[in-house]
Order: sequence, then C-alpha cells, then structure tokens
Amino acid sequence: MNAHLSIRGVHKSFGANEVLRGVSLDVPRGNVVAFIGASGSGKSTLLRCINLLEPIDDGEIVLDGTDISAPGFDANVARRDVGLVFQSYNLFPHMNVMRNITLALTHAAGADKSAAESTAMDLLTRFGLADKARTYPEQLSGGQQQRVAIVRAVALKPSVLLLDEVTAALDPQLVGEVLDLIAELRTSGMTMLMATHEMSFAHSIADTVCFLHEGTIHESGTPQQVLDAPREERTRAFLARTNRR
Amino acid sequence: MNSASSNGPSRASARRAFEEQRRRRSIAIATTSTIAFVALVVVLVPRMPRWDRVKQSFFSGEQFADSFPRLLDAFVLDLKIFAWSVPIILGFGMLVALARVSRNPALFPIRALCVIYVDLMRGVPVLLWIYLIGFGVPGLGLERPWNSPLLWGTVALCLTYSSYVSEVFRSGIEGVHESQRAAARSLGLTHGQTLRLVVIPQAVRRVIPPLMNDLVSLQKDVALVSLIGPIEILRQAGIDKSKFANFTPYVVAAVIFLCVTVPLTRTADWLLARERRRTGGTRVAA
Repeated sequence: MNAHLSIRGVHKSFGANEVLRGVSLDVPRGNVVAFIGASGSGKSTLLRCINLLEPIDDGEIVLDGTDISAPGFDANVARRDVGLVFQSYNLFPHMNVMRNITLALTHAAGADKSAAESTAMDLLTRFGLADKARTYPEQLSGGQQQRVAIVRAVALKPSVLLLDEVTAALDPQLVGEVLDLIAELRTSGMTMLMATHEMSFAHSIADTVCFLHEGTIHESGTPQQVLDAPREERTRAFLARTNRR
Repeated sequence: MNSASSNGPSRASARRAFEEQRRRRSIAIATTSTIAFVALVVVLVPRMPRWDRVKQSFFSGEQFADSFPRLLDAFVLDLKIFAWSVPIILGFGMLVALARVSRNPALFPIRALCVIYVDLMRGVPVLLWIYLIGFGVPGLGLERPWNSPLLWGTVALCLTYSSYVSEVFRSGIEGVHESQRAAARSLGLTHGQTLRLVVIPQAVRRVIPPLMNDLVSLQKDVALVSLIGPIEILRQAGIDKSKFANFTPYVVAAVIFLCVTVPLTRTADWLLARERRRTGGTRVAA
C-alpha cells in the first residue's frame, strides 16, 4: 500500500464520549478528500487528530510510511508536515500578517528571517494579499483573514493540508475567494483533507467524499457516487436535509 | 412614492433640536449641582466652631513652605523603593503565574507551593508582612548590610505585591483563547514557544490596566515601610509634626503623593477605557 497518508483504525474519546470509533482511510498523494456529515459526527476531531493536536486513543496515522502517531514521535516535527486551518482563522491578533506567517518558519522550521519573509511575500503575492503584509488581522475582512491563515499553514510547505470548515464562519459573499484559493492549491498538487458543508464545492474539487456518521466513515467514494447517488440510507437523509437549506 | 425621505429632513431637524435641548439641560443641571455643592462646603466649613484651630494646625502656609522641601527630599526614598520593587514584582509575579498555569505533571509541587504562597500573601495585610519580615529576618542576627529593615521591608512589599500581580497575570494568561494555543501548536511551535510568542504577549496587553491599579496601590503602600524605620516621606512628616506641633506636614505629604498617584490613576483609567472600546462592543446611549 503506497498511500501518502494512511489513517488506520483511529479511535478517540473525550471522557465517556467516543467521538471516533475506528476511522480508516488511505489518501494517495495529491488527492483531495472531503469529509461531510452532521455537526458532532467527528469531522473536526478527525482533522485535529491527524495534526496530532489531539492524541489518539488507538490506531495509527502514517505519513509517507512513518507512523507519526507513535508514542515518542516528536509531534512538533510532524505538525510542520501536516498543516491545519481552522474555522475561526485563529490568526495571532498581536502580530501583523507578515509575522503571523513567518513566526513558525523562523521558530519551528529554523528558517532565517529574510528567507522566511521572502517565502511569505511570494505566497502573499501569489494569492493577491501582498498589500496586506503589514496589516493587522483585525483590519482584514473574514475572507482575507482566512486566506492569510491558509497561507500561514502553506508557508511551512506541509505535505498534507487539513481544512476544518474554513468557510463556515464567513459571510456568503466572502466564501468564493477562499474556495478559489483552495482550488488553486489543488492544481499545485497539495494533498488536502477538508471538513466542509459546501456540497457543491466538495463535488467540484474532491477526489473522494467521505460521509462521517457517529464516528465512522459511513460511506465513501467519488463525489458522483456519494453526493449524486448515495447508497446508504443515512447519507441520503443527511444530503436531503442539507439540500433543503 | 418616497414618503419616508420626503418628510425626512424635517423629522431629522426636529430630532436634532430635541437632542440639543436635552444636552443643554443636562449641562445646566450638572453645572448648578456642582456650584451648589462647592458653595455649601465653602460656606459651611468655615462656620464650624473650631475651624480656626483646624486651619492653623492643618493648613498653615508657613509650615507648608517650611516642610515642603524636606518632605520632597524624603519622598525620593519612596520613589527609589518603588522603582526597584516594580521590576522585581513584575518578574516574580509572572514566574508565579506561569508556574500556576503550567500543565506539566512534574511541576505539581511547584504549583502547590505557588498556591500556598499566593494564599498566604493575599490573606494577610501588607503592614503585617512588613512587620513580620522587616523585624523578623534582621532579628536572626545577620551582618550589615543584610540586617537593614529597609531591605527586608522592601522584600516584604515585593513578596506581597508579587502575589497580587501573579493573579492578574494568571487571569490574563487564562483569558487568551484556547484556539490561539491550538493555532500555534498546529504550526509546530513548542509549548514554551507558544507561551512566549503567542500567549504571554496577548495576556500582558490585556492586563495592563489592572496592573496599573496595583502599581498605584504599591506607590502608596511604599510609605508603610516607614513603620519599621526608614525615614521616608511619611516618617519625615511625623517627625515634623512632632517638632512643630502642627499637622500641616501630613497635608504636604498627601499633596506630594497625589501628584504621583493621580496621573497614574488617570492613565490606568484611560488605558482601561481604551481596552473596553476595543473589545467591549458598541456603547449604549445614556
């Protein structure tokens, strides 16, 4: 099995609440996986587990043949390789855009300041944010903040990018600019796993759609299979509820 | 077709006139009540039966002029104690705060120690600590200069205020949203880097106003050290009082303190108001 990222039998509980009940998935390099499912189905928890932000209870997360979830493996090193972008952006409010992006480059990845700044500037330019380099997060729109947050994660050159409902907190008219950025990242071959409520976007961008239900992957397949012709009753019910809105 | 905007201008000017009238009325009320209050004080106080004697023993101009330079000199010691206490208090307070918010199980004994320390220091009046430490430690028979009450009085002050300040810092650190830590850790920053680069800068910014309030209190409480010996402003005022049998030196001391504490308090309030404007949402009209 030569998957880029393998998730094998991952279990995660918070107290008595078992959120992930054995999730397994192989993701080939450059693929985009969309996780759909109701709130509480475990989408966010799964992404936080893959980034090792939450230690898993059982199973393993294998990246390029290395079990990064193994006890004793340096999580800080693994996290630089697995970027995570949050629903609420989580930019650092006391730092300008440039410093938000260069902070981890200089302090975690060991880049020197000028190299980090040129990396950041290249990315900002590529995504149309060059004029915002010296701006503070509170002066940006939600869409701009989220684009900066994605750039911050991408700047570390992760081999996998995790996107946790990155458009859910945005005004509808700002969603497009963020989705465009993600589509652009896909063309550059970035492996991405995203939790999303944007069904049409998942349809157009994902190679695989996974429907999560009660902590397991209830149904998975191509977007056409899962979104257009779901086999499972629960998937159909979920999609019917979502489409009605 | 556009009825709202056609009667708009007249409605708007009526509203402006009403607001203007209301504003003038509040100013008139505020002015009248202030003048009435001041007049009452100015008229009534001098009519008190022993006002002349109080005036002579508390507000003697001659005594004021005589004591002022001496007290100002003595005040320099207060400022010195304040100046070298502040960095110690901020540094030690931050260390205690960090120990208390640490999540490392190995640090449990230190965490427990810090809780005990803060409880002890906050639970007893500053003055009592100054007596206990300021007289107690030199009583151990230390050699000069280690037996100075000035030194140990300052230590007592630093220990008490560090405990207050550590609680302020702790609330600031705990007020930084967990998602900020999550973001920093997700980028591969270590726990220490996350604290130093992301959490502490935000926490400190947030607690500057309450910190200023503690510093204003400290500025006043420095005078308590006088009770174990050092001749600073309060002690000097006491000496002058006894020498000239006049209370005016105390008034002089009060005036000198106010010259420092009032600007500090105003600054603290201004910082607090600014912080509230930034984070508190839209203000509701009176």
